[in-house]
Amino acid sequence: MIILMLAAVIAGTLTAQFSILPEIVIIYSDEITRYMLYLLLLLIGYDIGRDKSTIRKLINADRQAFLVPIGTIAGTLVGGAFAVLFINMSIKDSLAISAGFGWYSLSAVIIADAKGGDLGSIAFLTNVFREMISIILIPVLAKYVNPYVSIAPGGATTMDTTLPIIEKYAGSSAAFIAFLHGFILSSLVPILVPMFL
Amino acid sequence: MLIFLLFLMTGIALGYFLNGKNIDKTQKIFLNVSILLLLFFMGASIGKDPELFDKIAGFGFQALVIASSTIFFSIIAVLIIIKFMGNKQ
Repeated sequence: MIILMLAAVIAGTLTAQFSILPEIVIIYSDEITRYMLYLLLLLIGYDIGRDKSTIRKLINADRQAFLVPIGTIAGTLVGGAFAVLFINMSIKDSLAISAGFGWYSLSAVIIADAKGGDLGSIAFLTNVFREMISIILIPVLAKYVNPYVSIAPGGATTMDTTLPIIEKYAGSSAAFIAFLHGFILSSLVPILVPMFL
Repeated sequence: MLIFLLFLMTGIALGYFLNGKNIDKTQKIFLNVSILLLLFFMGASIGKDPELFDKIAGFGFQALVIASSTIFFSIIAVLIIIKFMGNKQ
C-alpha cells in the first residue's frame, strides 16, 4: 500500500504536469481534493466515534500524547536551524520555510510575497517533500516505533492529507491526536512563518 | 479549517450514536480507494505548476535537506515525549 500511495501521488503529479489529465480535472484538482477530504473526515470520525475506548484510552493511559504537537514544533524548528549547516541559506529563512510544517500552499505564498519567488519556490518544494516523505514514514513508524510518533513527520498535514494514512496504520486514538496536532500546527503557520521573515 | 472539524465531529457523533459495527472488508477497500484518489488529486495540484521541474532542478537539494532535517528532529522530539514522559506500557 505504501508503494501504491506514492505511485498515486506521482501519477497525479505527472499527468497534471504533462496535461494528460483533462484540463477540467486539473483546474478543479484543489476542489476535488477538498471534497474527498470531507468524505474521508466523515469516515475517520465515524471510526473514532464507533470505538468507545478511543477517548478513554487517551485520557487514562496515553495522556502524554496531547504533548505531541509541542514535540513536532520544537523538533521542526531545531531541524530548520540544523539544516543551514549543509546549505547556503540564512537561519531566519530556513526557519520560516520550516515553520510551514508541510503546508506547502500557504507557506509558499506568504514567503514568496515577502522574500520573492526563489525562496517561495524552496518553501513550496520543502513542504511538498515533507508531505511525500511522511507518506512513506507513517506506516513504518506506526508499525515499528510507536503509533503516536508516526504523527510527527506529517506536521500541519495530519488534519487533512496524511490523516487517513495515520488512521489506517496507527489506529483511531492516534488519528484523534493527529487531527488535534494538525489543527494546532496549521493555526501556527500564518503566525510563525511571518515572524521569521 | 473549521469545516474540517465540523466534518470530523459529525463523523464522530454518527459513529458514537449509531453504534456502528466494525468496519468490514468492503468498507476497507472503499477507504483504501478513497485514500489513493485523494493522493492522486493532491499530486495533480502539485503537478499543475508548469515550473515544477525547473524548481526541483534549481532548489531540490536545499528543499530536501530542510525537509529531512525537520522531519528527523520532529521524530526525535516526539519520541522523547512519548517514551520518557508517559506511563510505561
